[in-house]
Amino acid sequence: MARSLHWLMAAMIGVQLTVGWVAEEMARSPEKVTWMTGHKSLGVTILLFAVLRTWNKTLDPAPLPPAGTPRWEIHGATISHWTLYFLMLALPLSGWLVADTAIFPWKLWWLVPAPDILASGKELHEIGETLHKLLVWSLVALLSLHILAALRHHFIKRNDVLRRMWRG
Amino acid sequence: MRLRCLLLAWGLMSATAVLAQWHSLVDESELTFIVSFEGLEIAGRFAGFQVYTNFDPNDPSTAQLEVQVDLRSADMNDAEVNQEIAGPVWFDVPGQPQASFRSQHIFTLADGFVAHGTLELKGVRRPVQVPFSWVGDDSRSVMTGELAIDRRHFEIGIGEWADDEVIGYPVTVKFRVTLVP
Repeated sequence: MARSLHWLMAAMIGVQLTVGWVAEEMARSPEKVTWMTGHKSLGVTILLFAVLRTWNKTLDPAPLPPAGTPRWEIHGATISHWTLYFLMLALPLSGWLVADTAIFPWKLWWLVPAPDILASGKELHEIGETLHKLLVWSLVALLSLHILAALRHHFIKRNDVLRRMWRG
Repeated sequence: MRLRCLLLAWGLMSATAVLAQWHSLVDESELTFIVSFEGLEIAGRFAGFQVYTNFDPNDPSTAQLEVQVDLRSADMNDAEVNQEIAGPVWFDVPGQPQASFRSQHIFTLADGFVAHGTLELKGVRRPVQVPFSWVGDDSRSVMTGELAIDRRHFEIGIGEWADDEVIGYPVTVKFRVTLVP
């Protein structure tokens, strides 16, 4: 369960970063609206999975690190993993703030109208945008570290940390 | 020559006098438009518009009605979007800053009135029918109504916005106008 959730979310986050990047670069057009609605829908989906995953992490904790792992690495891993969980929750929420304070209504996966909770407004909208950008760059930085660390375990330290996430 | 000038001036004055019998109060009047955006409603408003009429609910047959809309006042509650809709793809405000509706044929219906007239918008003139209710007395009246127009008829939203994939064709125009003599 934990491993399936990891790879499923890795795939969704990869797609989401790409869609968000492409849509942000587009000039206002019907295509941009479609990409943005996809981005919002995927964001809400990721948020739901992140909640499920955070709950699952407390039920099914990660296995112990390989014997002989230095303390700084254990602490570093704990901090970065919890920060990743925080970002998986905070990024969609900040994106929701951006979408909710915009004037455009949207439907989750073009089916369910998203509730319009906050009034449209420039100030909150801009706060949301700044937050969303800040969080996405934090995520990109931390994901890079996460991937480099996994590769280091596999190729340099030659332990089973990456393998057990893949095969169990 | 002088007589003709006088006659012309008299004619203009009487025409204005007829139309100026009632005029709208800007702060107590609303003109909104609603369109579908990915199947959900999105609305905007024109703050700057004026209505002039000599309408008499007891005898609408002689009534004339004129509505002037300042398209520069189109507001969707987002500065960037407002700039966008003023452009040539949407209202083309620099090319045609005013829209108008003129009617000289107002009829009584079972539940109100209907004005048959011409809507001029973005350089296109088309006949439209505007149903409305009229409530009030000699010192103050409120005119309320709504009509549906098709944005394609007025070339509102052209180019890549020409199809209805994101923004629908029907536009509901609603108004609530407070008029005083």
